[in-house]
Amino acid sequence: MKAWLICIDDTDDIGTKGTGEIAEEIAEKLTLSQAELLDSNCPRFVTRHQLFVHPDIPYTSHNSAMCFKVETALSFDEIKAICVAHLKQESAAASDPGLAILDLDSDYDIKRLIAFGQQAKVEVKTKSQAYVLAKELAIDLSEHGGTGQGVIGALAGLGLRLSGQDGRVKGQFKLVKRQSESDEVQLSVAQVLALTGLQAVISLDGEILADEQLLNLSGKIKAVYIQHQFALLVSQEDGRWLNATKQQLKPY
Amino acid sequence: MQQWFTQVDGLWQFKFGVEDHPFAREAAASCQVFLSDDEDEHTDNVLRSCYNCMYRRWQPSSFQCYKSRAKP
Repeated sequence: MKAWLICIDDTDDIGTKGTGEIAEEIAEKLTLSQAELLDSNCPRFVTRHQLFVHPDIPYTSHNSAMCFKVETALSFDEIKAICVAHLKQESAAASDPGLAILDLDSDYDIKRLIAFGQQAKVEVKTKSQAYVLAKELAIDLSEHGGTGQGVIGALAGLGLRLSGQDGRVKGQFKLVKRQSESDEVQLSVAQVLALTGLQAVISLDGEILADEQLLNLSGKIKAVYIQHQFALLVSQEDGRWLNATKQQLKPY
Repeated sequence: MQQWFTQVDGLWQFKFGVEDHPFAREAAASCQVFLSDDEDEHTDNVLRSCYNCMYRRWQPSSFQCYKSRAKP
């Protein structure tokens, strides 16, 4: 099996299916069987990468790209055909979808790709710049409707994911049954990792918590991608470790 | 509406930036058209907040409401 990194952007509009959901569906389709999923050692989390918010950028409402890794025996042509068919079927009529596919075993210049991603968080990039870089790095970059403006975010999302220091994990984790979301549950780091498939519990300061550390969890349980790990983000208050709030998750 | 928003180019722009959660919640509480965005796009712990609404379009230092058109 080969490993691929895939990123899509600009597939939605107000009131339509979100780009993250479409990314999850594509990842599902690319995983041919449950056996293949179990064989794979990569967590198939979709990460959301925030890009530059600027009046000159025609995003719908938040300008973010969605990226995921798959390990599959499918060929490149088969992977792309599945991605394109799903994008055409599910993207909003008024959207400008872009798709980037990277063969992780290829010899690409990771530094340039990461730099492009980081630049796309702070400055306006053009389609032309994205296509030129993609060609030089042998990354498959394609547009699938509208203006195709989504190619910029799709390429940038690859770079940001590869940086290992960017993005929130799509969705939330349901660890144990709770009467209401506001109920607090206490679990150790080891238990959280076992229940979620996450790789670490990391504080806002970047400290990796030990397996036996107890956490007090309530509200939405959400993860980020930092230090090249899918991690539960936590903060310490009055000596207790709490899962990050939405406000604390926002910068990721 | 004018308590929380100001009219800019025919759209309502939030007066209190991107971090003033009490005002964003107050505005949403009195809004007739609030619609929750995808949960992954929420940035406020309280659900009913303009910061979590599908009709807000982020700007560098605030957001505009795309549902409530300002009167000319």
